[in-house]
Amino acid sequence: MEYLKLEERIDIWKDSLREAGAFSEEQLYELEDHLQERLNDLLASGYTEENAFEAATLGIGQPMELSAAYSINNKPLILKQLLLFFLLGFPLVAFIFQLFYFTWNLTGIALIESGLRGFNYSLGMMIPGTILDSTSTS
Amino acid sequence: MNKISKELTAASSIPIILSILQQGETYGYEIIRKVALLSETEIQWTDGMLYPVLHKLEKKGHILAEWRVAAETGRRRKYYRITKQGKKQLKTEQDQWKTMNTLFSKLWQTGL
Repeated sequence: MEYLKLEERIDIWKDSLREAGAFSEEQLYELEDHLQERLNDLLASGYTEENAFEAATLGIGQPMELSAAYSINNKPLILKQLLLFFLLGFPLVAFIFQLFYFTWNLTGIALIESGLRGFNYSLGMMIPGTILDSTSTS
Repeated sequence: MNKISKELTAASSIPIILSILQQGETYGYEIIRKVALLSETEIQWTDGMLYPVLHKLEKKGHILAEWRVAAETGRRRKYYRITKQGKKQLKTEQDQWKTMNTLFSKLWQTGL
């Protein structure tokens, strides 16, 4: 297993909390400070970095469990995030869809055109004089 | 002695926190450490669960919080202290727990 520095482990742990949602940055900092205090105590009592980290994160609680407890107090924060999604995220998603639709249309038209050309050419080969392309009539 | 159940721990968390803060300003980790010491580790909180209770008490105006740099770590830390309103709330909580205590004492003394 890849050895990670304690600071890297803390960053990963903090990211997992961030992903779980329901925490403000200030609240994350407070939890991180708590984790640091616990780690210092465990390391001072002879724990290895790995064992101390495991014990400290276990003691502080699972991200989903904490997220659920914090979200009760943080309803306005979650509502703010939702509002932000509808104000910024939703138009962004709509724009991406439109872009996709526009590209699809262009590709679709090009495909239909090339299909028609192919059909026209085949028809011309079978029945001379039926090629619809204006350039072939001269 | 058995470990205190999660439910009882949750129900007693507010008077415990307010009682500790009545002794003076402190921060989350120190509260956990005091509870573990006083209860001889029979009461075990999931550490992180303390903070939503502190934030709730802060929102209600029972406690005040302030960010300051801790001299020993050089990191910012959030310190909590009890307000007048919080002291009143603690008095109410104390009365309620005393009532429960009296009730249990009577029940168990008389063996009813």
